[in-house]
Amino acid sequence: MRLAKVASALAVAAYATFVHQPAQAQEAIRIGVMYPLTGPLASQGRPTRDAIKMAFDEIKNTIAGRKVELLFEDSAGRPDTGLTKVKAMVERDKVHLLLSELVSSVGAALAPYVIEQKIPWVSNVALASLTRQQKSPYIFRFVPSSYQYTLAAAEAAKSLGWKRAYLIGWNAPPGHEANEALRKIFGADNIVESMYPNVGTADYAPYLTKMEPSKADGVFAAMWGADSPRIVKQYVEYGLQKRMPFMGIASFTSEEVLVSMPPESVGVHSAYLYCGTFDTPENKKFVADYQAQFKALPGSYQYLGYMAARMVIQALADIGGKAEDRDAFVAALGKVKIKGPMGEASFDANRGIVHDFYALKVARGPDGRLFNECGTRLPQLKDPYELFP
Amino acid sequence: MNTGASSHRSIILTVAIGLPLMLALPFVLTPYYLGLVVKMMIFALFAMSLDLLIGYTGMASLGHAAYFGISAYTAGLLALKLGWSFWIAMPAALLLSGVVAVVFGMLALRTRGSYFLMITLALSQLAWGIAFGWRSVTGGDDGLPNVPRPDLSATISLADGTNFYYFVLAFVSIGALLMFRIAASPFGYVLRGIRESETRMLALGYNVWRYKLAVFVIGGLFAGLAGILYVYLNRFVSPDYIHVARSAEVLLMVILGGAGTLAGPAIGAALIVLLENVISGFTERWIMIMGVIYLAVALFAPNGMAGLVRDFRRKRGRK
Repeated sequence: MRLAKVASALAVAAYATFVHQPAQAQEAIRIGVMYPLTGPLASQGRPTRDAIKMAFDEIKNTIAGRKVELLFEDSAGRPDTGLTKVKAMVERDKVHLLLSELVSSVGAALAPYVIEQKIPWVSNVALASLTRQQKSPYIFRFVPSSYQYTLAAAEAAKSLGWKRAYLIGWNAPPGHEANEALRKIFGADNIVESMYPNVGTADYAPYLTKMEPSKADGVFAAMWGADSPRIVKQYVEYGLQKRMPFMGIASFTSEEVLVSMPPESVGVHSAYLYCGTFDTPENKKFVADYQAQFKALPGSYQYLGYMAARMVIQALADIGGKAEDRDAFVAALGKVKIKGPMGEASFDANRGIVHDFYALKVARGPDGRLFNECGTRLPQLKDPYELFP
Repeated sequence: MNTGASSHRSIILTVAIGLPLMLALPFVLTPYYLGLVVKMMIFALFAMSLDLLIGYTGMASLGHAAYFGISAYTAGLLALKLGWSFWIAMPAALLLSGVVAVVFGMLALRTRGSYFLMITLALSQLAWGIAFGWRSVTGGDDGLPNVPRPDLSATISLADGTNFYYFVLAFVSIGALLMFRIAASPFGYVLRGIRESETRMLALGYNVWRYKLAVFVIGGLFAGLAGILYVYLNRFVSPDYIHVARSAEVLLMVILGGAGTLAGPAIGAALIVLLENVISGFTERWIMIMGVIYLAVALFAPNGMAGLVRDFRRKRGRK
């Protein structure tokens, strides 16, 4: 049987040389996916990561015949931890690009390193500076900046006929930025008063008792997470909801927060780029797929993660999967225009997101569950560079 | 003085083996791992500075990150906003963290034990609040990005990873050496005396309060040095540098390594930085694994890793 042995050895050798070789030569496209998976922002980071994974599973982790390998990391929402992990992914693991992060302090810390390394970075960090002072051909911001989403809320309020309004916002950068933006868009005199409770405030009585429905047409709120259900509840308890409409800025009524909103939230307004009940076949499929895999309704975080991944996939496909050519990749990504669950998405000249926004209103279904009613479309809203250079 | 001679010999041995090894590292390691070693060294310096307070003087501070962060912010701001050269910015940053340590020390040292812990925590949160709230200067939550790495001279740029490694190695070695000297000096023995019995030291005529303030400031200065180096490594500062979580982290490094040994906390710091970055690549449950490690140390090695080594040596010596 020696002949058989020799023959099989030869066959193995031949297979290794001629068949296996090309696969070896073409190694996988490596993408660094870092989000806060632990810490206070994990409840946003994990779903985003899950949605990214889902987008790559849809294409069976293959682009232009080339395998895609996602490397997951945890920034813990801390800038120095995040920077060290990104260095590991770029310098040790040699990732071709980064699809990472949503925490603004981590984003601010990553930017100089990314620019220095010339590594393409698609982020979900809502920092306005990423497309301004810190802009670079390698940095893409697939999430609206604070100016952009405040503009959307202001436009939606104008279409409701608001002329004057209160603002209640976090005593933290997003709250103050919302104030800055609103005063510019709405007119400084038309903001009756801006109030800044601390993040995690339990009792809003001192602020709510100051609001007089005779003086304003509505209230803007720039606070998120666990604080948004709480303020809505108290706003209703003080009897203000019936006399003065309430408008949450950005993801205030996003589907993942909506489940913990009180039943009285019906009628609360907001304006953002994702609406869970949006009636397109693409969105229905997205919701069904996500729900089947992760047993929860997707909200704006999942949507942005999913779509950011799809933008990357499209750009990689456009350059034939040659992820090594970073300049070709960023050029292709800048031109990508795809139709997703909520319509068309693309990047502007500074590589910030361009997307439709919708006026949203909380409603209650026959089963008692709250959902967002998709209202007026604010088409292809850009970061307002002319207002905020 | 048998133990003294043997510890002297072990120090010489450590330096003789360790120094060439450290000098050779840039030729062996890839840039990423070299950067990780730099981070380990900086945290080793930071942990040792806290050990002077906890291990030698018996003052458990939960606000040590204040000095780390204050000098980091100072160095960052001076370089960013005023364009000061490193040779002026560094002493200025150290000076400020020293002054703050004097003020905080005078307030905190009126108390002892858990009250001292609480007040140091509160004072450091004060510094954190300023960094977080004073947006026009500190950049608020987002911090200060784009801090430049200094140029030592026209030809030596620290933007180069290897140069920066030697730069940090030099400062950390000098800092560590000074701290070992302080711990072994008569001053260091007074500190140990205070740790064991404050009243006895008072009875012996030592001005305990003044000694405590002195070591508090010294610890603050070395923490400040670590903070400056950390800014140059990361090229940004954020309120996170001062946060109580950072103070707790460095406290864990000291406890894990073994308080009152200096070398222990240095190794503890290096180990934690390494584990944090290695384990988290494999599982998102890395914090749980770190927790198990802390638990194991608390249960089986109450004197930290340094204590474990000491016990092992003692046992072998007896045989």
